[in-house]
Amino acid sequence: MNSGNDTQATTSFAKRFRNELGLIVALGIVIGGTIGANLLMNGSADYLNEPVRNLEDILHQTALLGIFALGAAIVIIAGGIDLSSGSMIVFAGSICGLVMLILAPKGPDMLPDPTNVGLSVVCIAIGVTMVVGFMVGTVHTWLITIVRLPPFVATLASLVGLRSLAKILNQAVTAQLGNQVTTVRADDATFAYLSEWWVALVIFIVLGILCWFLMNGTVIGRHLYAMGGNEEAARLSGIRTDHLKWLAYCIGSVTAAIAGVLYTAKVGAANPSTLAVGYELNAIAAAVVGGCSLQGGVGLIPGVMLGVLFLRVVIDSVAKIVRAGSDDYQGMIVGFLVVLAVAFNELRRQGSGSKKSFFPGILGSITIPILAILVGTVIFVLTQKTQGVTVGIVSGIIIGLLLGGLKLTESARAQRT
Amino acid sequence: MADTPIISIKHVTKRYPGVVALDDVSVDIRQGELHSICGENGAGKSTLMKILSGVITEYDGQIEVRGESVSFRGTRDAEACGLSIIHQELNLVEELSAAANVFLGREHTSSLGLLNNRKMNAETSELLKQLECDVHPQAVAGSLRVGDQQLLEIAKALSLNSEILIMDEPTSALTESEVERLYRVIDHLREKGVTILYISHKMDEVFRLSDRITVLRDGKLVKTLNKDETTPREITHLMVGREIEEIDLGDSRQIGDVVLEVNNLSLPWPGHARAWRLKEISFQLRRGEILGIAGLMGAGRTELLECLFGASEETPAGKILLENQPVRFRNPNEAKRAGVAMVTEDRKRLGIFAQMCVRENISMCTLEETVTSGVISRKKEAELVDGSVARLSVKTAGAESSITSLSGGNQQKTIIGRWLLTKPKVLLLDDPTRGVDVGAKAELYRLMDQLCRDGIAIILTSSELPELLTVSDRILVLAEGRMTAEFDRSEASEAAIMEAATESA
Amino acid sequence: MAAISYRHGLACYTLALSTHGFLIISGCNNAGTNQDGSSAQTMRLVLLTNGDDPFWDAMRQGMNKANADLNLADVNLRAELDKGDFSEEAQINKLKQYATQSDIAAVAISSVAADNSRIADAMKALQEKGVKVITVDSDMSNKDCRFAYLGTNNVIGGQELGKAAKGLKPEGGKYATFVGLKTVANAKERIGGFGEGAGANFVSRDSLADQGDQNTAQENVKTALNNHPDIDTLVGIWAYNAHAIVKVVQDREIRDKTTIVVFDAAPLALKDMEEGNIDAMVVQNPYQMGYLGTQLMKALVEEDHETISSMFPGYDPATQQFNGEGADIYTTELRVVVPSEASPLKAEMFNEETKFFTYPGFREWMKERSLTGS
Repeated sequence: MNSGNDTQATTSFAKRFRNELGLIVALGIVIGGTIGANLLMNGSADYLNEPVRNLEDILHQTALLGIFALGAAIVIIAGGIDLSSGSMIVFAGSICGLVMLILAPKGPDMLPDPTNVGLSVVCIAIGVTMVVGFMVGTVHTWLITIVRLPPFVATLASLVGLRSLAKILNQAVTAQLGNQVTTVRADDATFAYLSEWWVALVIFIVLGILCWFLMNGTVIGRHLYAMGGNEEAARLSGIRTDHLKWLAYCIGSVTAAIAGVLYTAKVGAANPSTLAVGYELNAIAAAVVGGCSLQGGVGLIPGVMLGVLFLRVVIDSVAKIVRAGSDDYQGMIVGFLVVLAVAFNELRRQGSGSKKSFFPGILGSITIPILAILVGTVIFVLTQKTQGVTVGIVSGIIIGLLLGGLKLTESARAQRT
Repeated sequence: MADTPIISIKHVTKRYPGVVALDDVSVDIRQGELHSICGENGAGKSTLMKILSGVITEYDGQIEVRGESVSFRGTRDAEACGLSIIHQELNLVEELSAAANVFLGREHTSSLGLLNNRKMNAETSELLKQLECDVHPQAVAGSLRVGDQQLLEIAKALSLNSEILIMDEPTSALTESEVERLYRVIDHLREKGVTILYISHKMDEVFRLSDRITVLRDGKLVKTLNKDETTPREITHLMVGREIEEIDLGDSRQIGDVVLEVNNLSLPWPGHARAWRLKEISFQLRRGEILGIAGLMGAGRTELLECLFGASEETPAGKILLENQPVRFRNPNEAKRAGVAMVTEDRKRLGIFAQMCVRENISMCTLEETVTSGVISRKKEAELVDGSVARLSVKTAGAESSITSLSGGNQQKTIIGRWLLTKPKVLLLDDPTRGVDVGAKAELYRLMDQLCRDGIAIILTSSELPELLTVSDRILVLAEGRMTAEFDRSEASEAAIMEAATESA
Repeated sequence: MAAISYRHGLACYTLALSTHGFLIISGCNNAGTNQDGSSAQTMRLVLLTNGDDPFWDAMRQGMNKANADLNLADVNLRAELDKGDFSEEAQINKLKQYATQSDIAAVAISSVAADNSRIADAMKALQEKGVKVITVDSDMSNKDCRFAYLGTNNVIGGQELGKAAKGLKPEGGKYATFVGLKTVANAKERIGGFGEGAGANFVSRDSLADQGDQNTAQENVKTALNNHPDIDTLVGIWAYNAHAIVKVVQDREIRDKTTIVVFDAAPLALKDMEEGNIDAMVVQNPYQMGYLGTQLMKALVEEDHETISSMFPGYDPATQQFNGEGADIYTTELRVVVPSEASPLKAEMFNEETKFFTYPGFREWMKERSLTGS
């Protein structure tokens, strides 16, 4: 980086950002593939017919996921993990809604009327929610650094605890105000502005820039990478690891709180039973696809942002191609893609080249028919309406033969050496 | 000695991405001999031994055992062929008992398939008796002294009744009496006809034990010699490729005034019978002086340094005065800011950031100095780092190369460079030359000397007495947490130090 | 190094393409066959449910019958069912997803939260795009976001069930209601209607929601019985609540002193009635809803004003407006089912429009339409 040699600078850019460039290419493939598939099947493609609306929708979803994925990624890079993002989102949404209810003017039936609370109340509610985010992050840090709970355990406790607390809190506060409910409504007119797609996008981009600046350019960012890579060495290098963890976990919780406010605005209500269930896994998946390692110390912010975009585009492409009942396929596709992305990075890191055998020994022999059955089942499910069982069985057998052939060439090669 | 060599290594090459660990190495090992393999770190000794013992299974070239070509798919294959290895880094499961460790992976089972602990314990006792070790077979491995743990590893290999034993730096963690014990065991094995491959840096061991010596350098085989036809100096010369002069540190240094004073430092040890990790240690350290700390493993050397650096688990009692001001460091950050620096013991685990490059590793402690308007200035950082690399002559492909591509000695220099940038008043070095090759060691000694001439005070711990005697101005001896002796360089001798180190309460 | 990354890159992209291969195959599957080989795109009429439940299976049967009877394929239309997960968010996301697709002609929705303005906004966005929007089974409080409501009059439904309870226990009793979500319009109306129909002698002890979780449904029944031992009437508001109630009552062996009246005829609930464990059912007609809902959507898409006004008498084709309060509501059929002739309940106790069935008769009716529940 300090050399004036131009070719050296460009090579290192491509090398440094290899993961990110790969994601961009993969993104292009997915979008192109979706358009192609739509044209093939229906004669017209949604992306081409409704480009603006689709772009807005995808960017909105990306921004919402991305905001707290940034926080989750920073915690992962710092060597920890935060399982509580989804619950923090709904907890924050509940707090925001409750504050607006508490400060709302009373309607004619002496119940608070949440639909017209005014800008100042909305700001207060959001401010309180941010403070609550900071509080949760601090408690996480305390549990992890002083009580010495493993981060997995501490944030797992929040995962289950916050959601339950939100339910109880909602009921208790609304009971005091006169109408006990579990789901807190949050459909004030001013608050609804936050549900515009570009609001979330702007917040995401600004947060992304700030995080990139922090991680890439400041001393604290460098120290976070160091702590994630080797915590003991960082401590013995004079780095205040406890303070850094405080920062990381608070970033995690506050970004989740921001996302919570925006999700609540989008839905118009905070329902602790259903809102953001399982979202923490989406955030972690996005971070991992974006190049973070769960060991810590590795990962770039642009990669995470691209990872989020990639994940959302894939989910949307599933909806576009499969149409009815697409969310049933979503889990399988996302799982497959996360495995693919991480395996790709993992294999590149190992650098084992052409010599790696994927199906060694007895484990390999048994895995092959299992994979064949899996592929066959999936194809059966996808084609059963038009083709019945035969296509599924046939493709399963074909895959089995292909993989078996691969195993034979691998063991032949091993024998030769 | 039969005509067919028991092991024949033919044109073995092992490549890793970016590095050739072994380059066309061919050597024959005769049956029943003790064959030493010598070389600097990174010369390829460990790689070769890992190939022989089945840990590394993919390589170019051929290995023949007793005349037949073999291709090990794992350590089991090697063991079945009569080869076993005693690793330098202990491979014990600390939570299991001694017997369980010895029979790990080859447990005796009763007819029902359940573990036959009685048989395993009995056999373990028998093996340990042969090794003059009085550890109970059911003792938890983690509670044993390092010397005993090493013997457990040897017992494991012996229980396999291997004809060929590979020993990788077996005495690195042993006391003198334990080393003598090991020599007796080796003699006993040789009487039984076992072939031994012995890896070591230490010329006195090599020349005491070997029949023949092979020297590796940079992955290539340099020469194989009969012991009687060579000298330690020649072997060292072949290992390094150049003459190593005796370390001559020139005129004695100017020793200045007291920079660090320690009064009755005690470190509590909750939950232990002894109750104190360190008890009432008092000494003074002057500017420009090197204070060596000697002692056996577990005497408390590392703990003492940690107390001075604010990195100890418990808060120590007693007083520490830095430049006549009382200080109490609650964490390494405070120590760093006060001007105390520590280069830790276990480089890989506690020192380097393996995922980062050389530049990032060197600048880690002094990043604040590179900041302009909130951001790290790459230019300033590069200046700092390049200066450090030049001053310490760190051999590296460039500041951007990964830290793991450097040899052990150069990694150590990097960490020292990191701390030197903080302009410390007191530099604490915990066993800095462990695992560092001869050439780099000499450079480190010269570096320490130069730093002292510049006014820094150094506290140095080491398990190699000759090293301490060469380098230190004064030597403190610790035994079981107490300070038992203090010598000037002129008064110190290996015998006197050992006596003080083994003094029991 | 370069060789490795190139090969791995190739592998990655190949696998990405194969993923798409799978999706394409599945898409071909779902796209259906355009038998006449025309290149015109098949437009979809989508019915979005509030969650997943056997109730919707009956509706799907009705939609399929309409699909066939009205020859939707000939006019390049297809009716489909899409399921929510009892959360507002899922419905909002799906409505937004429909807006980004170009092959949606009409949407019928059973909303989870009648007052949620975001759902209303999403529905309005669809309307602005030209998609026809109606509500089925449960309405929105904001009437602007849909053309019309097609479904049970849940107030009357509740009242009928209340009358059933009164008929079974003229002296009155203490009751508890069980439902999935209390925010849904149909829940509120049924619970309120029940109170009206049952009269002053019936006192409400508790009203519990289970968010669509069958397990919680059973737990709620236990909780209510534990907290209020004087409860002697159990009221199921959503279809699956019936069986949950019966299960708990059987476990506790209190059938002889408990009156059980429920909504809807889920397959399990029918079995319970056959075994004598349910005293009365007020059954909606989702089959009719599905059929008529599809018919209405087709009519809207084709701008077939005659059909529309035949369904909604208050609809003026000339102005395309509804005249009068409630003119935009189509009430689907209500049935009351009792176990047998021996039941104290008689047809005269209920509204004229409500069809009265005994259990065997009702089974016949279902068989004719190949239904397993209603």
